[in-house]
Amino acid sequence: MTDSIDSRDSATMEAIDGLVTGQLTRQDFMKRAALLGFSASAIGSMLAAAGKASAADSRLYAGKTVNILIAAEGDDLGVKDKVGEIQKRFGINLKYTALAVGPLIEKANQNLKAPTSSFDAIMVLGFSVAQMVGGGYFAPLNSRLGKVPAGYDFPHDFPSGELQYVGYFDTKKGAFGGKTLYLIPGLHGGSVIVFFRKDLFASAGLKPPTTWAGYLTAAQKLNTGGVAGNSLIAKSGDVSMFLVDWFTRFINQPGALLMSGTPQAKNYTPRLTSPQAVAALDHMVSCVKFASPGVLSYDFTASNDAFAAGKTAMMLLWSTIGGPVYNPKSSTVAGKVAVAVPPGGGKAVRGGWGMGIPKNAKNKDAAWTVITYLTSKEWEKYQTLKYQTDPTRNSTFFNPALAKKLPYLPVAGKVFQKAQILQIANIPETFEMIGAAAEEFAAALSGSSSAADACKKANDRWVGILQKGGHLK
Amino acid sequence: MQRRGEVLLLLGPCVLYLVAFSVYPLVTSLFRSFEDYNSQQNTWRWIGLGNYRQLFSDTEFWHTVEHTAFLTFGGVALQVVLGTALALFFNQRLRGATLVRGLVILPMLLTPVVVGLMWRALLNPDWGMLNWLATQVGFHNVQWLTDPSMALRTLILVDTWQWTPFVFVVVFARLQALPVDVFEAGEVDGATWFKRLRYLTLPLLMPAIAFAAIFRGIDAFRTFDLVYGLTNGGPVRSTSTLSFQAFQNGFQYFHYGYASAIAYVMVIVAIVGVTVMLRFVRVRREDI
Repeated sequence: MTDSIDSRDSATMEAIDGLVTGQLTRQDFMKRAALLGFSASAIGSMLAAAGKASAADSRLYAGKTVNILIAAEGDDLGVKDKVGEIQKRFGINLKYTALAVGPLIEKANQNLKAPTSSFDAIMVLGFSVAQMVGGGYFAPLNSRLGKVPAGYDFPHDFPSGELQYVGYFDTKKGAFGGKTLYLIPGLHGGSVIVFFRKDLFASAGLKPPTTWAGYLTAAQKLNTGGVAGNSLIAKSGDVSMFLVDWFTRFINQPGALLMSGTPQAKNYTPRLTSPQAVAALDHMVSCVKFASPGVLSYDFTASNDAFAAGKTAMMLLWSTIGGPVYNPKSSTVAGKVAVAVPPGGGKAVRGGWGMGIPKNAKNKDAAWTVITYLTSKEWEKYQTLKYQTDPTRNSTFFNPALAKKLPYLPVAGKVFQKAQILQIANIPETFEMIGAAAEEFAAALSGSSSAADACKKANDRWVGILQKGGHLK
Repeated sequence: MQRRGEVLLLLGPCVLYLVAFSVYPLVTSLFRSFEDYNSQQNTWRWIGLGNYRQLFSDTEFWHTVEHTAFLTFGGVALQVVLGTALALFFNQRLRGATLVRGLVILPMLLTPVVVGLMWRALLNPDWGMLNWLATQVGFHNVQWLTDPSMALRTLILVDTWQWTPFVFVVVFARLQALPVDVFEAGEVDGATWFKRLRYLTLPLLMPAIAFAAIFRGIDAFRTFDLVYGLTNGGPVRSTSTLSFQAFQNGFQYFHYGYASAIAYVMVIVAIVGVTVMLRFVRVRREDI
């Protein structure tokens, strides 16, 4: 073969990928391949190979039913749209169950611990990786990496931090990373960014805040005319209150450290009474003054809805949740929104999901085909564009064509690349601890406690949970 | 012999059902309450009374007991008073009473979790109808569900809205069946409306009121769904009830042993409570 295909040649790979996935017709592929300088015989070989690949895949799993458990956070819409496509392309009858985070974790745990899982593939939230993957319930995927679609581009197209978080896990050490792959990042990722009304900022002569003091000043100044200066996730016990609002304020301060010691050494000690921890909560208390009267009942949906309805000038939010504020169909302020990295350093918590195959699943091979399709560039691009959930791939975050339509994507991608894994995400008690802190912090936000007292109470509860879990003597 | 076979045939399915769905879970959860579950290793470890020791030394557990007691006694008292008053009112046989009576019992037909979600919307400080009405008449925004000192009272109000009709139905049914001659005799003897109520109506209604109160008391004691839908135990755990705490520990944090211990404390309290109540208030079978 005179024309060697350079795997780094993205244009060639994209064309082959398009052919295999059905995005390009045979005629379009031939035109593009000719433009790329391939000979007729090479094009013929490629067409034959692609034809064989899709036909073989289709025959292999014809009539198989694959059940998957996914998050009902917008991903389900894109999955639903492609059920027919999956059937057509692979012969797989895909059935999906989409649940909110809490019920999904309950359902996943029930299945992982049953003799046989009803689900052949399950989406795992980063904060429950330690519990589910760490518990040894998922099958390693390393050996399957040899069988991925053309142009899948694993691992290069995924941010390394996300692969460490919702990909590789060391079950012996109970730590993120390692060499064994259990999950493929997806079906969505994301971190936290600042969404703001550029029209209101411009008319008030303000620039996007780069410091937390600036954030508060902007909130105060913009809190006029029936528009709240800012909004928070302030609902008692809401995990996003801790992760989005508190942690972003906390981690962007010099010297902020959530824990000291390690669970393995049984000296894992919380530092919620540190000056940085109290300052972060104090800042939230100040921000409540320039928020809607109902802010104490806001979860992320309420916060997003208020912003989309034009009632809020600025908010910190999961980028994957906030995307639809750019969509004119769901937002009255679609043309007036801009985004910025979080003040103080642009750091935020690493969010996201991974999809894996339970050890006790029945149709592992067919499940792998479904996973590689649902985490492919093709599906992710479709999903992001249509439903504005955050992708996990660099090529989607920084795709110029997508950025034109969804201008927040490159900023979200920038934060996503350097987002930090929550320090307590490596133990099974993560959710309990986050929930406990968010309950105590709510006391400060409602004015029934000082920030320092709330942090002290949260710290005490964390100590109790860590001791009970055997992570602290 | 044939009779024995019939008994087995008729009772067998019920006994099997009871064993499978009541006795077995009850015994299993009792054992679980003496064990600790490790969710990562999916293993159980015998810890004796460890869960109970931890439970009784946990200040939060005692706060939850307080909330549950407040909801049970406060809520049920309110419902009994209002339900009885409503029954007496509707006993006047006013025009259109049948239609209004039908409307009054509607809340009872709704699922508590739906009631929770519905009231959460109605009480929303930003766009809820109640706060809109309050601001129209010059009041400030009321933080019904977000102020820790207010949320439990709101929970009781919503519970009362839903379950007063139950007390009403029970008491009203009894009221309809009261003997007329006793009241006629009282009237002939010159008893005023209040005296007839104090010395005739209420004593005669007492078995029905006691039944409604005990039934509602048990129900309120194990309230979970309304809390889940309305407040999710917050803010700052100010509306967390024993059932909700058991749910949270069991199904959210996977402390199955600890959750079983909470459930067993509830079972014991319920058995003792109902026994004591039945001793004080004698409910004859024919009165119910």
